[in-house]
Amino acid sequence: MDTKLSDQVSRKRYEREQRARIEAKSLLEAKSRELFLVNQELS
Amino acid sequence: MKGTIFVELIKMAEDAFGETVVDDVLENADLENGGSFTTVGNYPCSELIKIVTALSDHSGISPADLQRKFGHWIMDHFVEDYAEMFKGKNNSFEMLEAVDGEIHVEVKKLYPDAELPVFKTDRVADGHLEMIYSSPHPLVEFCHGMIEACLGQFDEAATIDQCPVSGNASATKFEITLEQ
Repeated sequence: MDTKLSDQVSRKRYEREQRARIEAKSLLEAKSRELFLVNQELS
Repeated sequence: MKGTIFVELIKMAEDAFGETVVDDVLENADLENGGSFTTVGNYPCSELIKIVTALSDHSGISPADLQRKFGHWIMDHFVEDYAEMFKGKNNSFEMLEAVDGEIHVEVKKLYPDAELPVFKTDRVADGHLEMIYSSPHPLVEFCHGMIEACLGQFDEAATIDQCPVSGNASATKFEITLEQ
């Protein structure tokens, strides 16, 4: 089994990470907006 | 199912089989999102099963064995990243009894509508805990691995038996008996 990590990563791996980051960012945008609106209702 | 579970499964696979293998496995596993997971996401459990199956096909290790190893792996991750969950717990039974409450918060905080497994515990005798795991998902071996790893965290040894629960096909009872 080749478990040694090389210095470079594959394009596929890079693109998976890229998509994951965008998904996480969208979630943060949506959830922070929800939080803001709920806070406004409270004040 | 929480993204952390997916991210950790992929990390375990990379640790065991290497990045190139994981690239190939994810590419060929016919995943809805191409294998791109974030810890804060929420994904269908069926996708996890697809990855486990693909890793099993690749490695020759049975899905049950992979699930159990993954249970150990993820418990180590919880100890590092959710250390506060373990605070104030004196032994494995206290930890296992707290799982149901902890998991609810961790899952529901971002996904209020998420479906949850249920972990019902009962101390039937000194050194003997029953834990009933109810879930529509086929992750009994994953739970078994986590229970083993939880015992390990507290330097305890026990026998763990799986029993069916009469009248509930989606539940499994773990009989956990400490070795004295």
